[in-house]
Amino acid sequence: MYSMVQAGSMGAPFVAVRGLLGSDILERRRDLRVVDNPFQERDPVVVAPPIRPDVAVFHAARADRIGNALTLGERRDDLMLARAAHRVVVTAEEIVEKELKPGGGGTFLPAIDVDQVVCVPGGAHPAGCTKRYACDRIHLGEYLEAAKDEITFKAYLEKYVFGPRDHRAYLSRVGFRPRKKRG
Amino acid sequence: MADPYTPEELMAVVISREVRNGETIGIGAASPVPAAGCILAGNLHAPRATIIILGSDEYYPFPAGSSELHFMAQKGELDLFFLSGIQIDRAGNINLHVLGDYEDPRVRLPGAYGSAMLYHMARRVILYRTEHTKRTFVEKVDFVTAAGILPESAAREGGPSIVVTPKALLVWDQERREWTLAAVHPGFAVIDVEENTGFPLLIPYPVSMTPRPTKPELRALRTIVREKLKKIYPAFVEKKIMPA
Repeated sequence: MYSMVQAGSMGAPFVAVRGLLGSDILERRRDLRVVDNPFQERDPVVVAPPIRPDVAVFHAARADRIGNALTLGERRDDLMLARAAHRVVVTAEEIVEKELKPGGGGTFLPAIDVDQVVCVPGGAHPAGCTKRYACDRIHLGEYLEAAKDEITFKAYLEKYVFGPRDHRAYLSRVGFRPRKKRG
Repeated sequence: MADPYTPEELMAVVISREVRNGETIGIGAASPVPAAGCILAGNLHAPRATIIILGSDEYYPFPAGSSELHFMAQKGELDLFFLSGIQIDRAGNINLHVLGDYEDPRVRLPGAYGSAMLYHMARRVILYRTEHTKRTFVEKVDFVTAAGILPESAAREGGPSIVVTPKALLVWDQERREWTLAAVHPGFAVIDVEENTGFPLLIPYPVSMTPRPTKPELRALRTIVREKLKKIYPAFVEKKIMPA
């Protein structure tokens, strides 16, 4: 999977991956095929097409008006995924006026890889957003409980996903209180 | 009277004894038992081992992401990796996908997460399973996530080396392609293992007994290792690793 996303980020036509021989995954996934390594004798390898998502969405701590974004935690795989996607949307806790530069922790998504920025405070809920708000364990518990059964899961979706008119309505329904912006 | 210990502590000690000094070792997500075992080995006989634990800051040498560990393994640079499976079978296959029919499963699990590559590319794979019963050790897995025996044409051998459970240590016999009962843990008999394994085992005579965790092993596990592991798996440490 990493290799397929990486191939997508590089514009490679396909990627060869190690392992998988003998696995039932090959029976189920028609997009994975076994070919002979053209550069080496007696070496069957699995090849896979690139993955290029239509849209990739990232939640950032901060973004600027031209599209530079700083996501939370060091995750270079994010950058790979952004480059594999046709369109990249960043939701951010806050939009800053000053142009963002790489460094200072977090993963820097440069403006050239970002198509749209949306200001969505509390956008990571029920997951946490480092230094701003913690993961909402009570809500996650409610979700886990609801997800055990088709009927309770539908009720969950109605209450929290389809029901609320917008993100603000969702946050008020889950009782999320945004913290004041820092200086 | 010998010191009591939890099954997880015993498994961590058994795993630590398998780790060799100087090895480069990868430990995937949600794997507290092998993480404990490797940190323990690093503090006892394997100070030069390079231990890479996904989800840890201290034991993650790359700047970010989990693809680095994945690609490092694909290059063939991992000496040792740990895998588990909801089912493990007679042929060394592991299942991380479904229980029951693939199209209409009783239980749907998270999936391979790289294991079908790692099982082939790590020089040595140690399997572990915290439940040793007939529903976990089966004749044939419901779904082969990663194959224990590779097709003849494959360039590498791959597959398991050993499996560690709360009852025993099984060793994969690569020539005969079967599991051997290498050692029974203290408090268990050969029959306990046989009756809880869903396929026949090669049983040598006599079968060795796993040496009990020693005082130094338990002391290190419950002090240094406990502290380090707490940062990665706080809930596990609280429940399974006793305080010193």
